[in-house]
Order: sequence, then C-alpha cells, then structure tokens
Amino acid sequence: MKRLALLPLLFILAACSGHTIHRVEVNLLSFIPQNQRQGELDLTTAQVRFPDDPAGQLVGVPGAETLVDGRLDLGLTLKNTGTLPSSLDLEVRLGPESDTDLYDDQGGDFSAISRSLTLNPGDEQTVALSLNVQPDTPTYNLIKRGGFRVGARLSLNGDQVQYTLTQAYVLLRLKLFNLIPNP
Amino acid sequence: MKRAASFLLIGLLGLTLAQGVRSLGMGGVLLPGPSGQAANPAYAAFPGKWDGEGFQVPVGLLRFLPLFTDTSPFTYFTDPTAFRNNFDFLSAYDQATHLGSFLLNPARSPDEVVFKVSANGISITDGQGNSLMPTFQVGTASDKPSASIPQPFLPIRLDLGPGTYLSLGSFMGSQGIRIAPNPDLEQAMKDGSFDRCKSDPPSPCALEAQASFISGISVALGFSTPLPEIPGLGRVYAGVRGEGFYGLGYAEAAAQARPTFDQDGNVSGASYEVRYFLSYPSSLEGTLGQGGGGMGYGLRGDVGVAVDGGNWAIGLGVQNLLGFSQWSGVEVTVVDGTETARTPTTKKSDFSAPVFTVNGAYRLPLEAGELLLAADARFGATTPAFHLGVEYSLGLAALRAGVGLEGGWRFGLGAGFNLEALNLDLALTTHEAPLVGGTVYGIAMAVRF
Repeated sequence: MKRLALLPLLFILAACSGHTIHRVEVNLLSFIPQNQRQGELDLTTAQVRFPDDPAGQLVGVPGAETLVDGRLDLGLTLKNTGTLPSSLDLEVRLGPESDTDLYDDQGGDFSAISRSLTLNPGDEQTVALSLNVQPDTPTYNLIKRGGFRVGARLSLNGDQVQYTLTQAYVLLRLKLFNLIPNP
Repeated sequence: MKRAASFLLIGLLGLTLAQGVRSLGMGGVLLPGPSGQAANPAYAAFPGKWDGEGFQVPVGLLRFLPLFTDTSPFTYFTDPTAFRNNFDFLSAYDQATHLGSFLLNPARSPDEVVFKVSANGISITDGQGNSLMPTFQVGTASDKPSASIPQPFLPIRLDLGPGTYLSLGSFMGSQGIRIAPNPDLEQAMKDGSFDRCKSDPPSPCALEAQASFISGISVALGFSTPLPEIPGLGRVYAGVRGEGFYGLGYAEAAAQARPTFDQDGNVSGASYEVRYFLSYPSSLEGTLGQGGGGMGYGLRGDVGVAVDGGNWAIGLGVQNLLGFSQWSGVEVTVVDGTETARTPTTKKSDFSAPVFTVNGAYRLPLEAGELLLAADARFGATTPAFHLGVEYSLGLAALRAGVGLEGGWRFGLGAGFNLEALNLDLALTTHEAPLVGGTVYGIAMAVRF
C-alpha cells in the first residue's frame, strides 16, 4: 500500500451530505509482512522498526484537510527471555510524505507517542499505545496536510526480549462537506 | 450555481409530474385514457372515464425552500453553515426526482460511512456494519443518443381537427443515470478482498458510471381516432404520433475507475477513465468554449391501439417504433486527470428502439360501490416496469391502493373526494430510496375545480 487513491471516488459515491462523517480505518498491521511482526531483540539486534523501512508506511488520505479527529493504536506483546532485567522504549513516529527517515528528527518527523517499561526475566507484558488525534496538535496538523508517514520503533536496553506486534491501526474521521467554500 | 440548480429543477419537473395522483395512489399504474397518450397515442381520442383527475400540484417544490435545509440547495446562499451541516445530496436528488410528492423521509445519506482498508482490500459499510454497494440506475443509461425524449414541460397543444393535434413544448431531463460496480468488483467488495482484481492492467474490476442529459424544443403531430365498433369486443381506437425535436443541449458521460496494484499485490491507487460528449448550439460556443458547438435534432414515430369494452379497457402503445436522432459536438477522453483526446464527433441513435406499454383496467360493480382494477407493463428499450392498482369508490369518496416494480418496489395508497365545487385527490406514495435502500414515503395532491 503506497497510496489509497481508490478512496476519493468511493467517498463521493458512498455518501455526500453535511451530516455524514467518513471514517477511514487503516489496518497497518496487515501491510507488515508476517515474518516482520515478531522476533527477538538481543545484544546484537537491539532495535526493530515497524515497518523495517526507515521511511515508514505512507498513508495517503484524500480529503484529509477535512479531518475531524482520529486515533492511532499500536499493540505489542513483550517477553523477557533473558537472564537480566531489560528496559524497553517503544515509540510511534510520524512524518510528512516527503520524509525519507522517520527516525532522524529531520525532515519534519517527530515522536507521536512513546512509552518505556522494564521487564524482569520471564516477565511477559502486553503494551498498548493509543493516541487521540485532536485539533491543534502536531499529529492532527500533519495528517490534515494530506499524506503522512507512520512507523514504530522498539529499542532494547538489556540482554534478550521476544516481541510480537499485535495491533497497528489508524482511524481518521473526516467531514467532506467542510471542503465547500463560502458563496 | 443558483441558476444551474433552478435550471435542473425545472427540467426535473417535466419528468416527475408525468404520473397523476390517482395513478400514484394506485401504485403508479397507468390508467387507460388521455393521460396515458405519451405512452400510447391511441389514448388521445380515448374517453376520459377511466383516468379522470385534476391538476397535480407539484408539492415537492416546497422542499426546495431554504426552510428545508436537507433538500434545498438554496440554503447554501441563505445560510452556508446550515447547508454544510444538513444538506444531503441524496435527499435533494430524491426529492427532485419526485416533485409530485412532498417526501416525508427523503433518502438520507448514512451518518457515518466506514472505509476499512487493509492489505487485502477495502470494504465500505455504514456505521452499523451494513455493506454500502454503490449501485443505482434510473432510466436507460446508454452510450448513444435516443429519439425518445423526456416529455415536454407544459406543452402548448393545438387541435387541428377531429383527432388531430399539434403539440409544442420545451423539454429537459436525463435519459438515464447508472452507477454500478462491474461483477468482478462487486464480488471483490463482498469478499472484502481484491485478489480477483489482481491481474495485468487493466484490472478486471471497475466501478462504472454513466449519465446523460438532454434539452430541446419538441413539436409533435398526432392523430387518434375511434374505429368502427367491433361487435362483441367494443370500440377500438388507433393513434399515431410523430415527434421531432431541435436540440438545445446534450451531454453524455461514462466513467470507469479500476484499482491498480504494486509489485507486492497491494492496492496502489486507481486508474480513472472518463469520456464525455457535449453538444450545444454553435451560438453558445463563445460562452462555453468547449468545442461542442453543433446541432442536434431527431424524429420519432409512435403508434398505439386501445379498446374500450364498456366495463373494461386495454391498450398497447409502442414508442419510438421508428426514430432517429443525431447530435454533433465534441467527445473528450480524460485518463487519470489528463485529457488524452478531444475529437469533433457526431453521435447517432439507432433507427428503432421500441418501448412497449401494455395497460388495462376493469370496472367491477359491487352491491355497494364499485371496484376498479388496473395493471400495466412496460418493456423493450427501457428498464422493465410493472404496476398493479385497485380503486374502491363509494358515493363521493374513493380509496386506492397499488404496488409497482420499477427498479425497486413501490407502493401507493390514495383517496379521492368529490366535494361538488372541488375534486381533491390525495396519495400516500412510496418508492425505494436510491443507493441506500429503504422505503421513502410522500404525499401527492391533485385538485380540480
């Protein structure tokens, strides 16, 4: 999925009224190959990105300038399979369509949500990150510009942790009638 | 925009008042008699004892007052905020195509449309999870013009002698609108998977849309006469009509959208192809500047026969038995937003595209009152339609009911009152809401002083 350009026509045909909200639910998890959704972090591989491409996943939303609100969800299952306590940093990063590396703090990318946790040996934990996209926030302003990129990064400071990505989801609510100018 | 909306409204008026209130109350059935002469020219001389009714009041126009923010496009000028929050294109379209009825619950776009996008495909549902399949058809959306034109709005009619008449009027309207996924896309959307669409471009899956619009001035010359009575059968009527038109404008468009896929088989976008044809008088070229200045004209012949058997009547009409129309203008092709061709083109209709209408009625006297049963069927070069209606009259009042199939099911309920100085007909009408389904109710009214 590089673009979702099929959507504009469907938007028009499905409904067009002042009271209609168009809800776009993108299951990003389905675009991440199965073999990249789970794995193990250790001393040699201390970081993993979802998707692996540093440019992240491009999400093109026609009519994004009519964004009302939205939500980003990310879910992971983590298990410390090592012998030492491990600390983990999980963050979801966003950037403009033109950005080539979501993780270099250049080109407009930024951390939208992040969380740190520590797992003792044998501990297993499900982590859920959720961000409500509300007006006048950097995430809202970015999405409203049209296409955007999204990616997530899990970093390990410890010896060994198994991970499984269970959810990656973007929900956007649009009101297309807001495109109509004043007479 | 205001002028365009008014223009469209007037055009639709001619289309949507074609059926009388009495007919609407009987589910849309076509009763034998002069009101059915558009479908059967023999009815021009037929007695009006079967279909008599008053002037139908276009009560649907009320819904275009800015007071009704869901259906009135004029709200855009009086209260833009209310327009943005309440106006519903589907409601407005539904009302505009049923101007004879004040719609109580015009078709309403869903409050929420959910697009679920995954690597496997896209599904569209309403907020309750019901699939929204964009399928809609009115009339016959063809890729060539037709000599069958919409009925003129308020034509001027001149009687030229026994059974002979001349009719002159302007017409405007659509000859058909169709939006539908092709079978492959329909199945893919039901499956929620685009696997069947993944093949070398172009994809077999496509969303298709067609529409046409026509406007002009028509002149019809008709002749209808009773023939000698046939013993045991009744009085036979025969009629012919020739109708020619001079075109003031013709537009026809067809569009296809096909999904495209990247090397991994994921949806990467869509490919659009739009082809449209425009024709308008050359004098408008300076204003419109589209290269579509040309000429449009057509001629059509209709025939019909009807029998009045006293307490029964039956008729068969054939519209466009022979006909021809031609429009010269410009055809434009646009692929993915880029104009790829603009060619002066002349479009011609078929020489025969007959539309058959069979209808009949039977009057059954009862001990108290009288029952009128009526039915019609329409087929040929049009979307098939069928109606069945009944009227029970007792003294000064009549009750009516009926059912019809014309694209979707429709039902009707009605009543008539003969109040000496005033005849009043009311009908509760129903039709299936376009695109979203469900039943739309309306109230129609006709008066005769």
